[in-house]
Amino acid sequence: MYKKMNAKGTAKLNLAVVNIDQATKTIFLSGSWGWISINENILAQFANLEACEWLIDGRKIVEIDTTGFHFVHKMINIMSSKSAKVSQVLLVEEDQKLYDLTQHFELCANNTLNELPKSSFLSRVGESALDLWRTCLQLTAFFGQLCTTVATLFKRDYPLYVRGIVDTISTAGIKGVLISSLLCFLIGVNLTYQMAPQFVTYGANIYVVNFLGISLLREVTPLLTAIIVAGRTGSAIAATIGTMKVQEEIDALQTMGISPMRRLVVPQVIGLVIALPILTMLADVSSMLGGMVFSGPLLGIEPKLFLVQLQSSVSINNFWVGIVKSFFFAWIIGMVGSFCGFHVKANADSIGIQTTRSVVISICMIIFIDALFAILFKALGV
Amino acid sequence: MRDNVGQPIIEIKKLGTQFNGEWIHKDLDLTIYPNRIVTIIGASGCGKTTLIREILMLQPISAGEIHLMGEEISKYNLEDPYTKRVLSQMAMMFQQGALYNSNTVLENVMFPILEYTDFSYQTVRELAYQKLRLTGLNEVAYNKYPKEISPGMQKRVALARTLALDPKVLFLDEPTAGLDPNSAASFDELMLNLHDQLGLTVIMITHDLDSIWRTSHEIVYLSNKKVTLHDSVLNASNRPDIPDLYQYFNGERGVVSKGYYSKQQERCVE
Repeated sequence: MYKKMNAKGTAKLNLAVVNIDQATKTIFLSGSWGWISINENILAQFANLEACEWLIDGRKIVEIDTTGFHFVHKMINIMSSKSAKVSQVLLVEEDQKLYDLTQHFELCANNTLNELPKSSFLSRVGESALDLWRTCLQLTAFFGQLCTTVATLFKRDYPLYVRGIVDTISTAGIKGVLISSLLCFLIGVNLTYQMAPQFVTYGANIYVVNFLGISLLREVTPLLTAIIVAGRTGSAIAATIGTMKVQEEIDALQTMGISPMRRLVVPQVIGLVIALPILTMLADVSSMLGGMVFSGPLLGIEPKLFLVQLQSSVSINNFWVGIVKSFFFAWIIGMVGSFCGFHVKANADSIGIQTTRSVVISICMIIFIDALFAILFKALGV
Repeated sequence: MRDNVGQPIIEIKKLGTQFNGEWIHKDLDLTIYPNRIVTIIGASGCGKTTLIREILMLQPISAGEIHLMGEEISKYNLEDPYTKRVLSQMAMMFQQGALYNSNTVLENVMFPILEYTDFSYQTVRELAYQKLRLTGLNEVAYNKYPKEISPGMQKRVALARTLALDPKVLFLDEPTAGLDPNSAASFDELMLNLHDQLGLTVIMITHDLDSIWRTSHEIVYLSNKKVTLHDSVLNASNRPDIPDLYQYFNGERGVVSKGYYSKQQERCVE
C-alpha cells in the first residue's frame, strides 16, 4: 500500500478486498489491486482456511497490475500449503494474460537467493588488516617504480614533460598561496593569543619570540602547509588520474607507447617538490607576521624588538629543518595521490573512495615522516 | 474491455522551452494515446531528451501545458506526495541504465518499491524477484552488482526497475544503444511482449532503425522546434517532402531495414 497515505487518503482509495463465502466455497476478489491499494494483511485470513476445494472469482476486480497478481499467486500458494485446493481462477479476459505471465515467478523459501552472505566481526578485522598490509606492499612497489622512472630522467633519451611540471606548480603552488598563507597567519595569531597569558605570568614576555620561531618554523607551518596541499592537490591528483583510468585514457596512453608514470606521475611529483617548499617559505613569513602583529598589543613587544629577538635567538636551522621536511612531504603527496588514482576501479564510488584514501594516507605518512625527522634531527643536534 | 481507449494518455499543448534566451521547443503540440509504442526521432540537439525530461518533470517548462491522463502535471509542486504518486505512473529507463552501483541487482529493483510502499522487506524482495523474472534475466545475476553483469543484462535490470511500480507510461532513452545485435533483438522482443501483456504505453528515443521498424507503431519527428510529423513508420519513411527524414529512412543504411520490414508490414495490412 502507498506509504505516505494518511487515514483520510486511504478512504479515497478503492482498496483491494477479499470476501470469503464459506457456503459456496468461493473467494471473491474486488476493488483495485494495484500496489497503491493493496494491504499486505489481506493474506492473513488464508492461513486457516478449510482444507477443501475453493473457487477464486476475480471478475469484480477494477484494475490489477503485476503487484496485484503477486498477491493472488501468493494467496494460492498459501492455500495449497494448507492443503486447500484452488479449482479455478475466474478473471476478466484481459487480466487472464497477465495472470499467466506472472505465474511461477514467486520467490520460493528454498531459493539460494535467500542465503545472504554474512561475515563475522573477526573475519572483517582480519580482512582489513590484510588489506592494510597489501596497501603497504603496493605503495612500496609504487615508490620503487617512481624512483626508477625519476632516475631515467637523467638519461638524455627520456625527455621531461615540462608543461606538466609548470601546470602543477601553477595549480598546486601559485593558486594555493593565498589559502596556505592565510591559514598560517591565523595559526601565528592563535598561538600568540593562547600563549601570551602564560608568558605574562612569568614576566618572560620576550620569550614568546623564541617559542613562536621554533614551533612555527620547525613544526607547525611545514606540517600545516603539507596538510593543506594534501587536501587540495593530492585529492585532485587522485581524482584526475582516477577519472582517466575509468575512461580508459591511461590505457590509450600506454598503447601510444607513452608511460603513464612518466607522463602523469613524474610531472606532478616534481612540480610539487618545487612548489611545496616555496609555499612553506611564504607560509613561514606570514605565520611570523601573525605572531609579530599580535605580540605588540598583547605582550608589549614592538615589531622592531620582535625582529631583533628573532634574528638573535632563533637559529636559521629551524627554518631549514622545515624546508627540508617539505621536500619529502611534497614527494609523499604526489606519490600517494597518483597511487590512489591508479587504484580506481571502473565504477563511480571508487573515485570517491580513492580520493578520500589518498588524503588519509598522505596525512598519516606526513605525520609519520615528521616524527622520524624529529628523532633524526635530535640525533644530529640540528 | 475497461480501458478508456478514447482518452489520450499524454497531451502536450503549446509547449515552449527556453534555454539562455534560445527556444528549443516552441508551440509544440503532441497527443499520445494509450497502448502505443511511439518513437521520437530527430537530429541531435533538437530536444528529444529535453521533451521527455519535461514530461517526467525533471526540467521546468517555459510555456504551455503537459497533461497526463487528463491532469495537468506541469503546474504541480514536486514536494507534494500526491505529485509523486502521479509521477509514479511514469517511469524512465536511462541511456546508461543509471543503476545504483553500490546495491545489488535485486536491491536496485527493490529500491523504488521500498520508497513508495509499506510492504514488509520480504514481500518487497519477492516483488522485486517477480519483476526481474518478468524481464527474463537469469537468476544467477540477482545477487551480483551491476558492474559484474553484461550491458545487455544491465538493460534488463534497468527495465525491471522501471517496471517496479507498474507504470502506465514507459520512457526509454536509447534502449538498444551499445548492445550487440542479438541482445538488441531480444530486448526488442521483450519490449513488445511486455507492452502487449502489461498494456504499457511506450515512448522511446532511439537511432536503431531495426528497432524502430520492429517495435514502433508511431513516429514523432521533431524539427523546427515542433512536431513536424506524427504518423506510422511506413508513412513516415515515404515522405520525400521532408528531406532529412526521407534520408533517415532511405539512406544507405536505412534502405536495407526499410526493404525488409516494409514488405512485412504491407503483408500484414493486406
